[in-house]
Amino acid sequence: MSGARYIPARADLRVEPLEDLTLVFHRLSGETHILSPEMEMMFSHLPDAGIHPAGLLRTLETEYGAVEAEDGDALAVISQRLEELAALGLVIRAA
Amino acid sequence: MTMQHMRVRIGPATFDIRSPFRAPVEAARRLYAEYPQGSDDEIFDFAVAAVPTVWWRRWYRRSMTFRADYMMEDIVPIEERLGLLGFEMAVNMQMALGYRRDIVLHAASAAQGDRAIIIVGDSGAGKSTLSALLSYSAGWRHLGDELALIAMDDPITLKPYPRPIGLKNQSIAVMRERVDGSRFGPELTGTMKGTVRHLLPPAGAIANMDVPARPALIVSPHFAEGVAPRTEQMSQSEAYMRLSVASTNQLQLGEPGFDTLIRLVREVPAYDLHYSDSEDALKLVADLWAKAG
Repeated sequence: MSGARYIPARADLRVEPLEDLTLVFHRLSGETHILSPEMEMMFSHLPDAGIHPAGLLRTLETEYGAVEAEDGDALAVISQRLEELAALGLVIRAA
Repeated sequence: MTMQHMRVRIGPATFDIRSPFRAPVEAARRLYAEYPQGSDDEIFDFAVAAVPTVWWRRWYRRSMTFRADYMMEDIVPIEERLGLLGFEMAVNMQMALGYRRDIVLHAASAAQGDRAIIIVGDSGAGKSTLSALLSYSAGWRHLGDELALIAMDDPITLKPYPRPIGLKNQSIAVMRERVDGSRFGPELTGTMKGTVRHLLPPAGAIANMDVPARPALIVSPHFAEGVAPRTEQMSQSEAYMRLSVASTNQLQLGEPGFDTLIRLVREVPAYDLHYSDSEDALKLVADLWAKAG
């Protein structure tokens, strides 16, 4: 498997689902982030040991059946979302 | 001219107010006559000083600027006759930016018994007027018109911060019809916000300013000419966002602040209120309050 592996920074986070959206408090920055249902689904399926985008896509397909993205490239969307989570400090990108 | 000064406690915070200008300090003493006024040997939380813009402005074409721990960079000098308003703004700024014991929300609040309503909204949305109406026309205990202090305890409580209510423009006439003139401060015309007049809360609100209440309802008023009265419930995340944006110090309070706001929006229902008339606003609140049980 190629590409980066993404590890959830769970020890640095406090995740609080509300009725409609999920809020995440990042202890290191003191900032609060809002996860859309799509982001929350990806984040909650990241194993503690980390996973590659292709591995996450397979996990989601196993759980939910076919995973579709609006522009057709689900793997690219997942990679992009994981990068966004990494930029916020919610996941750590390992080589 | 000697330095004039006074100390006053509003809710949990004590302020030291001083100036070489006599008139604004005397105006503050009169406005705060019913509040606990401390002595020199007490510790105070925040100091606010009104000083001449340049030294000779102490005597000629008197104008002043304000010195305190927390101030905006671009604060405009004001004429001596508006000194009281300057003190009020500077005092609010100390609480908004410097107070750390509780979550500070840009919101009004009022209580019935030990249960409270939080009124959150932008400047000019009608917070002050609605809180003044609730306390003078519907029997609520006034907790504050500008800043609400949310204690990070379990259960969550609101601490009163019942400073004088800053009424603006047409709200002054609305309240003047209902309240005796002796409860009003001087009319301050030509301010950045138009005409401002302070209304003292009912005496009971000041006497009970150390008695907290538990939040039971959150509303966001939207006053606009000609709209039909209606309410809309907010989702929990919408309520969280509104409270978070309205908070002046949540980022400094870290995880306890996050935890408290999350619990608040899970436990307390929140609504938008749309109305064009004071009586409609009071009725909408009464209906929601009955529903909040």
